[in-house]
Amino acid sequence: MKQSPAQAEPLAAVDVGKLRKVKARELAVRFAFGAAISVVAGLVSLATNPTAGGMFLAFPAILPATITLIERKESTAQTVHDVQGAVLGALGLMVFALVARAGLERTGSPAALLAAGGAWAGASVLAYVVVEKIRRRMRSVSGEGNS
Amino acid sequence: MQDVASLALKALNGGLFVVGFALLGEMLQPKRFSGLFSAAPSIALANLLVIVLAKGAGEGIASVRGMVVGGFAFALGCLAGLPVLRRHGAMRGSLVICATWLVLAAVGYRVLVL
Repeated sequence: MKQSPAQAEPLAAVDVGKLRKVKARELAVRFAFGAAISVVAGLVSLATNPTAGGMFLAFPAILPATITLIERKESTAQTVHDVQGAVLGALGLMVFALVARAGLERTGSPAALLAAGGAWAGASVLAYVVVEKIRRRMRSVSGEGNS
Repeated sequence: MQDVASLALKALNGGLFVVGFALLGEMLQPKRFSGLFSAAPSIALANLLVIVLAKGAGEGIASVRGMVVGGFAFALGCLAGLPVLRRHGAMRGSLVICATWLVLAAVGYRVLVL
């Protein structure tokens, strides 16, 4: 029985070898974006209030650099896939914020941020698995319909 | 002076966390999965750690309140940018994502503070 490309592709995989292809310049660009948006968030917070500055903690600062690099190295189609993943990651940011708020209100400890980071990972990966399984099922049903 | 030191620490921390999450994302496949890390809480973790340690939980709580609005605007910005990305590429798609984020975050902030 033949598998469709979507079925053949693993749901998630780790390839440590890909790290060898990462150039120092690409990391420098990302570092600069991360540093710059941190300064912007800090300045907005100082100029207005922490809530306004806090919005910039979820600004899509890294995404433009990432998808520009992916487009250059791979294809526009791959950038679309990356942004589709980012939608779910961004929803996970809301979970991060809600868990961080609850944790900070209860404990006041920086450890609440680690719990929030874990909540982001859990919520994002769960959303990805659910959405991806639905997408693959729909593609396989439409593929069977066409054959 | 304390504000300048705090900003410098946030910048350094922010850059390092972003690089760390980016390396993690580079290792993962397929792209839809690694894309989660394009919206990782790297800047949030880096900055909130400094905020909570330097100024206490109160300012951290106020910051994450704004982050809920930012995260929502991020997700909708990505959805708005996808068709432009498909047709016109990464540069214009990025512009739409960031512009949509700015508009939605401004509206969300007005709703949040009023």
